[in-house]
Amino acid sequence: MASEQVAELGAEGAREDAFRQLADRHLEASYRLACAILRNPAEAEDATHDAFVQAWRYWPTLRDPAKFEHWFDRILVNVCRNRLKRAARWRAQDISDDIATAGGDPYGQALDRDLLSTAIRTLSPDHQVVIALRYFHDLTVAEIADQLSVRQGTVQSRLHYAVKRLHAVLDSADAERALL
Amino acid sequence: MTEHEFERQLRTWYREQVEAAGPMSPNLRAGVWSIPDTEPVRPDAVTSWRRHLILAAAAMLLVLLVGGAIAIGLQLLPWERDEIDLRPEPEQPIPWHLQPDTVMPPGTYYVDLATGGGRSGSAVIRVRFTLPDEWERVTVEGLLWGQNKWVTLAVPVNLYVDTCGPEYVLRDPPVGPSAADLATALTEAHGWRIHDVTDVRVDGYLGKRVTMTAPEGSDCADGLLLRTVGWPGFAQSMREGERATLWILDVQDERLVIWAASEAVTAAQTRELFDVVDSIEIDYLAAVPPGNGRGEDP
Repeated sequence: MASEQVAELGAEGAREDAFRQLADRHLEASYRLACAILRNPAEAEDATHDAFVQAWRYWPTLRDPAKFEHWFDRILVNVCRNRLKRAARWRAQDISDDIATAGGDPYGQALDRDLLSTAIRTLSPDHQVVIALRYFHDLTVAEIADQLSVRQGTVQSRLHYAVKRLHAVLDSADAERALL
Repeated sequence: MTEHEFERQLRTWYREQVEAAGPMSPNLRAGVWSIPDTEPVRPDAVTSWRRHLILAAAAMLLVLLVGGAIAIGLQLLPWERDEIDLRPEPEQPIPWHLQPDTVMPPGTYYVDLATGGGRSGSAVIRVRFTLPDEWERVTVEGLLWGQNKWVTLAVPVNLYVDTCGPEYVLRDPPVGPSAADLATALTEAHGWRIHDVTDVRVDGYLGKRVTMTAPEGSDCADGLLLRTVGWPGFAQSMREGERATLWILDVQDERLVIWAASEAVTAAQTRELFDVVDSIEIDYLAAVPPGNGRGEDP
């Protein structure tokens, strides 16, 4: 849809039509971004839906409908970030296996599973969001800073830390494989 | 591995992860499509930003003036009170619609916390609380999330041996049964910064209030999380540098923990969090009521 058409829809006050058309256009990409950040399809669907609910509630604050994608991505990233934070604080999953195997070598077990997935899970929610935006969404540092409303230096610092940590995990796995 | 190889691997991993997730369900599209039919647009969002700004400035000035006068005149700040005595109006209804992961309308709710490890026939501690707008109940019983603020209501059984390590090993022998035992154990846990431990009374029940911060700069496994209070199938955690306030109460022969924490920095957000805690009322029910309290008014 051309920007002019979108703007016209917004100006005419046909809110519902404009919302549905823009949602239709961005739904798939939004879901994929949520998948990248949350790494769980069900969580990603919930987050995408929640973000669109928020977008609708605050629709009047979107003064330029042509900038919907940028505006909506900020909402979506924030919803995903909140979900990661919430999940990080409250470990509600069954931890009986962890209890049973406590004292073992969690690193060794992780090597048999998806190493990167495990490593990313150990990052804080803020770090997880930043690397997903950088390496999945291909945003620049400036764009990520704008999305998250933080300084570019903060983004650089988070990226540096996250990459360093993931790098260390992969290097360690390589070293272990070399020994086998 | 070079930086370039690493970045390529990371990009590939993300692409594969998203592809593996598969296409979104048709229900999502239908759900989003129906949002305008079911969700209201916020009236305050329609307000022009200029008016919003003026109102916010005026409100902030008023709060500062009134709050400053109260704080100076009475030497009383809400988070320093030792006794929580604010309660919802008795005639206020107590609906139960705590569906997991849904925003709840403002109102008074209750949650029944099982004691005795949830064994059949064990006593129940019923906790009533009043929530403002934008709070959610999270999947787990007794966990409330208010957009960067959260309150946990729990009957914990023990602490972990290592509050920072990767192992979910509970203390053996367990921490003693009283509120004082748990407060003491927390103050002695390695690495924690304890700001104060005071005697409190909440809705008639005595206990301890502990204000603590998770240690910073530690190299904890599990995403920089620090586990503190543990009970079967659940681990309460904090991220490094976070500050939390715990009310640990002796309720009959059980121990109830009210855990309040926030990333909030504004006084209004802090006030909202402590308003939720202030609203708490506690009932000890000797036997599990029919239906465990769900779907009915007590």
